[in-house]
Amino acid sequence: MFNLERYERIIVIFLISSLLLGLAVIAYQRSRPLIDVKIGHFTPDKASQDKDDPSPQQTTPLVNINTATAEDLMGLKGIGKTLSRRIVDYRSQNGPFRSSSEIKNVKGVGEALFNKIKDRIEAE
Amino acid sequence: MTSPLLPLAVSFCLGIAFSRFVKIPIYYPFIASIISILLSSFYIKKRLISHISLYVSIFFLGYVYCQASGILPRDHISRFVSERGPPLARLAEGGETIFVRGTIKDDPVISRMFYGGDKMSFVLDVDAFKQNGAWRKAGGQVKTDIYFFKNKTTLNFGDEVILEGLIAKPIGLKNPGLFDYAKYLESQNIYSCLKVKDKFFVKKVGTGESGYIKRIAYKVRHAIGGLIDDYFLASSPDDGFLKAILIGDRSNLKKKLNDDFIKTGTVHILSVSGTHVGLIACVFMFLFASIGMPKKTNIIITSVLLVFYSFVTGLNPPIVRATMMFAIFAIGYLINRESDLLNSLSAAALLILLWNPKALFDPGFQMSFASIASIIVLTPGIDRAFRLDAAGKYSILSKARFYILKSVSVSLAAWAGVAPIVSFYFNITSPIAVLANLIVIPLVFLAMVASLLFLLASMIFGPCAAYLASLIHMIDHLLFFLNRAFSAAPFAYFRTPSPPAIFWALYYASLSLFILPRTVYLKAVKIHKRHLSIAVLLFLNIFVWSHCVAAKRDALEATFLDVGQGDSIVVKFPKEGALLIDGGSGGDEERFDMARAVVAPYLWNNGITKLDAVIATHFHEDHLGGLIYILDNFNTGCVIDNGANVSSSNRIYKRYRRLIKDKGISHLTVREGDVIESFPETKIFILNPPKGGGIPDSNENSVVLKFTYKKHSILLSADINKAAIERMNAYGEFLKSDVLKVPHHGGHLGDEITAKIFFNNVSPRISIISVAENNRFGMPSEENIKFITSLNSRTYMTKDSGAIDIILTSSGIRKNGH
Repeated sequence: MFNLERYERIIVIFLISSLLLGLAVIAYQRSRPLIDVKIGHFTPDKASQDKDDPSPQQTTPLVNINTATAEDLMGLKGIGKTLSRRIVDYRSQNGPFRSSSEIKNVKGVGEALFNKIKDRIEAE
Repeated sequence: MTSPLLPLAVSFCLGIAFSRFVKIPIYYPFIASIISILLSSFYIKKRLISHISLYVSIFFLGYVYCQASGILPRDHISRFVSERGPPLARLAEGGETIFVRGTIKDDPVISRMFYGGDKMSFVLDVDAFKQNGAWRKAGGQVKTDIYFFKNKTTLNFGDEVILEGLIAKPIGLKNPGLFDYAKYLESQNIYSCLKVKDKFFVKKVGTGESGYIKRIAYKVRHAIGGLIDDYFLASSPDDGFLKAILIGDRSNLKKKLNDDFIKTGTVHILSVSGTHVGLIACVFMFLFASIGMPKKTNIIITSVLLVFYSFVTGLNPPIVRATMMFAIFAIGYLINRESDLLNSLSAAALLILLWNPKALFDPGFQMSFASIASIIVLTPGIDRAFRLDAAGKYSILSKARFYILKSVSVSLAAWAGVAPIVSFYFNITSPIAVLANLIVIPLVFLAMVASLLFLLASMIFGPCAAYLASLIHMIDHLLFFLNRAFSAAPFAYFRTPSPPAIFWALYYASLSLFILPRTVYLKAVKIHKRHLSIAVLLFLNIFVWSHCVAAKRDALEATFLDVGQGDSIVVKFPKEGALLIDGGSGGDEERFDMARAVVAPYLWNNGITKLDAVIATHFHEDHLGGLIYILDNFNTGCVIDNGANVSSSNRIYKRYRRLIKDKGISHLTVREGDVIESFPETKIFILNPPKGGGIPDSNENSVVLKFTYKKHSILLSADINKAAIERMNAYGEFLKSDVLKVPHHGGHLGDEITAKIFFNNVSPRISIISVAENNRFGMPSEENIKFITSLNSRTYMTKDSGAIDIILTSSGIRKNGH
């Protein structure tokens, strides 16, 4: 379909093969293996070396009052079936809590109860 | 010339495109346009000069036309909107609200929000507004969102309402080369957004009289949607799929399904577009022909029905485009002009662009026109290569061969025409599309015919409809299954970076070589196709080899992506290697996902298809969420986190762990005192969480990383707060870094003195805050910013600057501007 002359054919063949070679090189460059990540240690040069906690206590994570279900909330001390439902209702009516202290706006959660649970909750 | 409109349309398009990239005072192009049109009429006898100056004139006309469409009238509502509105959170406390009266211009879309409650969105045609006590007339359109928490009010097309809310310029995410919400709205001539909270701020004052046909069409639309809901579960993929392909309602379309169709290059069938109009026109014309209707009447009735159908589908741009094209082809046929297809196509393009010149920047517009143009232009050539001629249509076997090859030829032509555009917008190229479309389109056709029968049956006889519904269900699932199988085939699709301008030029040059005759005459000069081919090949070689020998990166590059409220940081190491720290919010397949919208496209755009490591600093949704999509779609070497205990209510964390296990990715945990030296020329020190202790607060437990490269360093302090900052301060001098990612999105850090000591210790030259405009936490805190600035540090925030690119080289640090 092209009617090439002899020297033109040579040029075309050369160009095509160099193109393919170039593509192969790119493919090779792209196919590097993933880096094997190893974790080493360094000694932090700290002003005050804090001692390693001798007995790492297993702590329970905080309850996120914006994503927790009613059952999750019932895990908190002082919050039962009714209160947990009210908290979830409050959330679906007013949108997410902006801070953990906003939970006091829920009917039935007073200052005393808040002080009891405030170290166990977060609002993210 | 057989298609006189083609060069006109092309030069008009080029003019519009030019106006987006080059801004000059509008009267220069206006004068240029007039001069060239005068030149054209003066030299009317000299063909070449006259033609060229005519096209130049049209080019400048396109420029002027597009620029002028962006000039807002004096009473346009957006003229009264300040650059940045007050946060929505203040709405409840009675912020500076505005009253707007207007008419609802489209079918309101309702979607569920992450924390519960519904959001209703529509375009409002503004009539008047009240700002400080007095009403004044205004015009223009406003994108409106109403957030319903307690009770819902139903609003429909054509309703006149008074809304009280906050108005602002659209705020979108700003990441280089990615989707820009403000630009997207601008292309629909919308320049501001109104946010309304709750029904107490909504008052319906009338139902309007205009738009009678539209109202009926929307009634039909809702009726069809309701029927689909009656017979299919809202949670099933069928429901969303049928609504998408029948009435153009994509709100319930499963995002995962959409992704699968993107992979096989068949996603166009999920929006009611050219393919649909073709299929529906086929159904109608076949039906009418079978009852013996004459051809011309048939075409007219089909066109009218198509126009009504485009109303039913909510008048989305793709269907309007396709209907218009059909109408123009039909008119061409009716007035008995053996119409030239390219000419009709150009006429359609010109009409659409005269209506709204910014439609040119709509990816859908580009893809529909590119695919149809390349089908028209390329198929004859491909047919010849397949040795297709009507002569072979005798036996059944040769007939079948003819139709199959013809379909392949059309599919191939369409794919070749849009491949670079798809790769530009979706970062993907799918060779499988040529095959997949051959199977998918007939199946969609079948599903549509079955649905049509189903809709008819459900109005007449229930049990029959139920039977048809299960038939549709079967067809759908066969379709989904085959589509999945196609996407899983070897070499089905490749993720690609956005092609550079040079590539576009070379690609389309090669394509046009294919259709060029053997020799071209330009006046007296004879040009051989073989010479052109050699030239194109030569340029292709230069393009490819310049990529091969390109110098390797000699710098450490960290990009802080704009993921709204959240964190996501991409680190590219010198020579090779890439790492992702956090993925923004997300993690739920069917909700908005930052990784799907921003992080993954950014990585693909930059040629990163594998990540050597992914680090989750802690397990909050605005950091971990997006990583789910990343782990699912990228080849990942290892995942690194703090190994903390996680509350059972954290569903995203469960998915994250399951994904790591299912994919067999190696899972490492780090704590204070660990260092990673596996990456070229870079050390990564881990400063938090502390050894041994379990800390209940996720933020205080987050992984703090210090990167050092040559003499420079970056400190990424995740979301740490008072307690962890106090521990950090023990490091003293070691904290000193050139670049600091400010802890916890710049929010309050508990104790001011500890925070100040921390900032003093780090004394960064550049500080970065990853935070969203108008976030509900009121971040960042003013004091933090004031103090950091007093340390002689430049502060950049993702909400203002968009993605922030920091480059560390042996000679210094710099911030890349976009």
